[in-house]
Amino acid sequence: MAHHDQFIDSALNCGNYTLALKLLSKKIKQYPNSSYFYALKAQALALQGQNDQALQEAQDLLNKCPSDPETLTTLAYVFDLLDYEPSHGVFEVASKKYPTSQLVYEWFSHSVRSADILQLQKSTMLLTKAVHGSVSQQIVSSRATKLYAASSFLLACKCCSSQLGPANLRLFPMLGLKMAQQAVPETAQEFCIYCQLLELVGKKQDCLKVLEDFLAKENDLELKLIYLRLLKEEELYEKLFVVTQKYLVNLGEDDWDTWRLFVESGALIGKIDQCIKVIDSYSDGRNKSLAYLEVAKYSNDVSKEVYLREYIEKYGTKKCCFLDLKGFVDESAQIDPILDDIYDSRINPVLEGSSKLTDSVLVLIVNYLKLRLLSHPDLLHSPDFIAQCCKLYTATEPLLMHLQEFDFSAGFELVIMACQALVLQSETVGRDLFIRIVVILEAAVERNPYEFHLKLWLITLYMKLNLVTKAQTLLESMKVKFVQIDTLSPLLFTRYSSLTDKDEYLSDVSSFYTKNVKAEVPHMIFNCFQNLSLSKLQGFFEFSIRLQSSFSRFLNCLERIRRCRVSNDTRIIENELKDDLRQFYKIYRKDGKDIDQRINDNRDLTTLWDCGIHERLSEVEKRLDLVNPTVNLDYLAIETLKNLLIYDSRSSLYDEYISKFLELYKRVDELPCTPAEKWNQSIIAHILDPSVPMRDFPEKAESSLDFEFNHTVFVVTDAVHQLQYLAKNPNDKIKGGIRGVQNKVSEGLKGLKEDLTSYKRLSRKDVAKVEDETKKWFKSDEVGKLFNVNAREISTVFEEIRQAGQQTMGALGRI
Amino acid sequence: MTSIKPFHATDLFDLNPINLDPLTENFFIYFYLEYLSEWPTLFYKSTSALNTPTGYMLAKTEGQVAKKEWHAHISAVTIDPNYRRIGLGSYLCKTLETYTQEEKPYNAFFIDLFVKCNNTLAITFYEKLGYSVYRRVVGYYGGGRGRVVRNKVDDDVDAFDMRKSLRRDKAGECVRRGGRKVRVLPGEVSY
Ligand SMILES: CC(C)(COP(=O)(O)OP(=O)(O)OC[C@H]1O[C@@H](n2cnc3c(N)ncnc32)[C@H](O)[C@@H]1OP(=O)(O)O)[C@@H](O)C(=O)NCCC(=O)NCCS
Repeated sequence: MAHHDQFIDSALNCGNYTLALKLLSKKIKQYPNSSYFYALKAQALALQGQNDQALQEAQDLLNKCPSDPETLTTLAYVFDLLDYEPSHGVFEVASKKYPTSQLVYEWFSHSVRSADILQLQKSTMLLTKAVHGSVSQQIVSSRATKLYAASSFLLACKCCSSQLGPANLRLFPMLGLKMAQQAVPETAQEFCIYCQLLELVGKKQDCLKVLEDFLAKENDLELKLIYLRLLKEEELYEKLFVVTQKYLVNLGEDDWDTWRLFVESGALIGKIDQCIKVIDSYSDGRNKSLAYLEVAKYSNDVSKEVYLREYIEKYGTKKCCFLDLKGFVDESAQIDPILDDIYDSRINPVLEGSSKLTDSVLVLIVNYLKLRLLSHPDLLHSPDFIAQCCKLYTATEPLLMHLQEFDFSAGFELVIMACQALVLQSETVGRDLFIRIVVILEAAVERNPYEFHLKLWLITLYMKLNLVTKAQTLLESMKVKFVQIDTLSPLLFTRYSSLTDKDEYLSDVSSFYTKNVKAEVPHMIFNCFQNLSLSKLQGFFEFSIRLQSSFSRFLNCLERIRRCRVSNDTRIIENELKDDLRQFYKIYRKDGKDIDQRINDNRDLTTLWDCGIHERLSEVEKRLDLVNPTVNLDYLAIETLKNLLIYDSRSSLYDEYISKFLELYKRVDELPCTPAEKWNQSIIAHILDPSVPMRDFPEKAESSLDFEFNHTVFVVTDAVHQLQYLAKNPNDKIKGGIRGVQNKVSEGLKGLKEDLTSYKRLSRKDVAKVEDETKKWFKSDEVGKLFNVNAREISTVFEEIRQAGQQTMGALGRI
Repeated sequence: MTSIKPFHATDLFDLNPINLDPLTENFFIYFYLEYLSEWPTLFYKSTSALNTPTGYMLAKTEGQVAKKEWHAHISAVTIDPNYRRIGLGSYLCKTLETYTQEEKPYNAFFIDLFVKCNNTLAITFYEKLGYSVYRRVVGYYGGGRGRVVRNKVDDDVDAFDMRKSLRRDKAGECVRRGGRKVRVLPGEVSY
């Protein structure tokens, strides 16, 4: 048993390793048989950088086969710190030596906590054989352990296939199946695992039989989906036709995937006429209308145009219309005449005032324009398109007065499409364009206050305008929390620490991973095992792995590092954040296919584009990315490596860091880095390899309403701190002279920085000037006038911009 | 086009178009995972042709069979704004009925849910589906603030407990007329 000692723990936590070692040697004298203190000693040595001695201590301890779970957890951590991978995991060694149910259960728990599927597979298998001292010591029933093992074999095959090797790929399903058979499956959840294993061993006919028998008794959704998929994969189209018809007609399950399989199998066995009869007699609904279009894919007797028209007639006033038809509209020739008719018969009368404007007509107008754009994407380059969007938006604006609380109006899409076109049609991309779009979107969001796409666009633009407080307020108004922190927050926190000196947001993001994820996810995986909700296990593990190796998590870590460094707080970096950098690199270097062998990017980069034609418009994106570009894995890697080179000089992987960093730096011009970031990377490259030239000092942005304004000053300031750290903590791998570089950079920074009063004065001047220009544009420019934004609205937006600008300047003044 | 699929934990990464809605609550991770592990078949989603979620149903079962209180409870049902008003919310609710009728393993007496008394949209929505108000839970959404008194009603913080009988409730004992007038306190509705 481990005996915790709070003095040792706190000495370790605050980085006082010498004190920790002193206290530990006393403890070891006092409790010479307590393996835990030996493990802590190895940990303290590793943290202190005495790698060889630490490894020796850890290996000596491991050879003694300790069985205390905390000792084992600490040992695993020590090996990790030392970048050393023992041939067998520490729990594995211990459990194999003492296969008691308690210890093996600890191994199982450890693998759940670390979401290590291969260890899970081994531990659950051993759990089926573990020795229990008495029945009361038995933690899990013998039947359940078999189901755990069966599920874990399946998980290993599904999630870690590229690590298994051909022999295990064959063996694992067989062993899993054996376990499942021994357990004798009873519930749908258990059959789900059993059937997937049957499938993996190639017994597909048996699997189908089992599924049929079960589904005759209980209509389980998960099993039904496996059943239908398997019928299709096995090309049993006659059967598939009958079965899908049964679900659709007899059981009344109006499910689109079932319809698709029904039509496909009908077409393949020459029964398309029968399909049409079934569709004809089916009760009205969206799926029914679309089923005709599906039939049209296979049969020339069915006119696609007729059914497209019919669908639009029925559902053109529903927002889903565009998304439903997107997959069916391929040529403009088909849809254009329909859209023309819709415009003439239903839209134009409203525009001319002879027919009433209603919410339904608004949705029809939006669908009309979206479908038009889908079939003619080049419209985005046409000034007439902007004019049309604006005309339709203005005509439907009165409806916004009656918008119910919490409801959304579809009209915003007209505004967004117009803005996307504006981005493409503007001669230059930068402050003036961004400000104009902000004004347009702010006016739209004021009348449609819960519309979140508008807000996402605004956040993106405010970041480009160096107005981070505005971006943050908007994100907070959307109550982004929990999983959304992983998916949506990067919109705000990417390069956040180069715009502001605030720390809270970054810390909140970080505590989502260290507190919520850590406390909630493993606990629920245990729950999932205990309830034998086996079909959910794969999702639970993938969820856990994707959060542990999350792109956003590591990106936030980089932001926190810059924040800490700029404010001279290197302690947090060394004691906490460095670990995350190391973790990133260990996963990154695996560069594998399996989910646990790569960094997982869970960022939501699509909701922003979920309007208009519901696609990321690469041309628009490219232009927007000229300022504060969207980052990618290469960016994350080069920036992480830069930091590892500064802080992890004792790592045995240090040489690899250097070569990988220089390799990425060679193609830095292709990476989504800003000029200041590239310059910063060039400094590190230069001191590692003096033959790599330093880039020219980054240019100062002229306007305070430009992302680069704060960004450049922050990045250069940060570079000064990086060099200071390296000068104080030299390592022999750094060949170039730091002092010379340091002087140059500090000189450069002096030329860049001003005092707070001048910053604030500049900001006031800038905002006033841009406000004037913006008002002129909306009043007199041919395109600007189309948007119908009045001077009062513009003033309101600028009032807030003024305040946010002052806050942004305040941050600059403080660093 | 709509298909119904089981919900999996990784779907949580794809819910923004649904959960950015101001009336849709974003829960702690454990909350979703608990439903998935305790009631794996009662948490399902509707999907588009591209297989993205367009809505979901989050439900559980609770109560004692002996007291005829064994029932399914809708904890959340929500639809992506792009897919509203086409019967999808109704379809998710009807699907829950088929899953919890005589169907194993649930076989419930009724389905219930709580809705804010001022959410007339949702109340109409459920009434159309055959639900009726069983009782008013005074102060249910008050977050424990202030003293809750049975005769002090407030549509902004009170909930209607709405129910619909399933076939197992043969005599219709689990529902009643005039439920809007029956008041209980939050502590009295635990199972
Ligand atoms: C409530 C909600 C689930 C309804 O989903 P939906 O798929 O749009 O609902 P349906 O299309 O099945 O609507 C069925 C009926 O409910 C009523 N209804 C639904 N939305 C309505 C609205 N916005 N205004 C008026 N009535 C409405 C209508 O009577 C409708 O029938 P109709 O379209 O034939 O007139 C959806 O609006 C939503 O996700 N809201 C946010 C989350 C929420 O409030 N959940 C419920 C709280 S417990």
